[in-house]
Amino acid sequence: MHSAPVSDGMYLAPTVERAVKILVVGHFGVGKTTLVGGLSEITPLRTEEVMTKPSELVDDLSALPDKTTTTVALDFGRLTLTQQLVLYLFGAPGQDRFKGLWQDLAYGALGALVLADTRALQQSFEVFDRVEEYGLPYAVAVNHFTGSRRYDDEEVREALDLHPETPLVTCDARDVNSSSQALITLVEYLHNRAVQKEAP
Amino acid sequence: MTEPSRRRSGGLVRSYVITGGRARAGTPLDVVTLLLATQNTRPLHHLTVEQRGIVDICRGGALLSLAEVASHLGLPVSVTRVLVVDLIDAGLIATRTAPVVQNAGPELLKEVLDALRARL
Repeated sequence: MHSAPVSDGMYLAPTVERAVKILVVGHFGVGKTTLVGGLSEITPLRTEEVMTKPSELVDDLSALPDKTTTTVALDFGRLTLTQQLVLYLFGAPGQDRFKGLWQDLAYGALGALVLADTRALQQSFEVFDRVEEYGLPYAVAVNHFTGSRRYDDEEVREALDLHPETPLVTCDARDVNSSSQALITLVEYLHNRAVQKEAP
Repeated sequence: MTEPSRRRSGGLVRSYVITGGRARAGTPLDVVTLLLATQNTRPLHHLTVEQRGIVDICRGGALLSLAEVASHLGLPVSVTRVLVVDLIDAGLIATRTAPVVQNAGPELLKEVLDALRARL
């Protein structure tokens, strides 16, 4: 028995022995939380992280003046994939000032799904910089918003300067099947890469 | 009446007070490291409120990731990590998962892929 005020279904199955993570990244308002929430088996959780500015290296928070810290909310969800394996999806903001958070999230992540909005493609540049900086393999999902113009894949690829190998899909973050498909596209790409890497 | 959460109370206690002045955990623990309480029956009265909260939420074989424990307790992940490392050293919390590795192999990715496809 636990004494914490928690609901059923909060805990993982006791058989789970491995956890992996994928980052869902994009600028504010692009639909990260919607996508993560739609796919998650639990109500998406939020944690707030206290961060230091990227240029500061500190070992002791007590020596740190308040004005150099900032907080960022981190949303995440969970999908139990098999009896042994669970996948966590972390929604991560791409802004430069969240670098400290990225180090922690990016390490060991399978890859990243970059969410983009055709009405604000230039806002995604910072996100791509961050993903590439941490060497995360990624796929791009254009979240289609009602009323926004549909562009050809080629137009989007050119505007975002995507590598020919980088998968590009259009999705509706409110639709679970559509979000699942985007995630599958990413993992297919990750799997193919890993197979090629192992080939002699 | 339920106890107000730390988040709603506006974080009146500074992070460095909760962790006793330390900002970094000695052992790197990933955000998806799975945690559970050990069978250790040692009394918990010497623990801080936050540490007791962690042990309580991980009791009875209940399995949660570090990120989930942090979120349920309304603490930043970085703070929770420091506290959990202390609890592991004290033999009160154990980790279930192997340490996260960079560059997952094709077998693991195939397992993830098959499971995602099966959900559609």
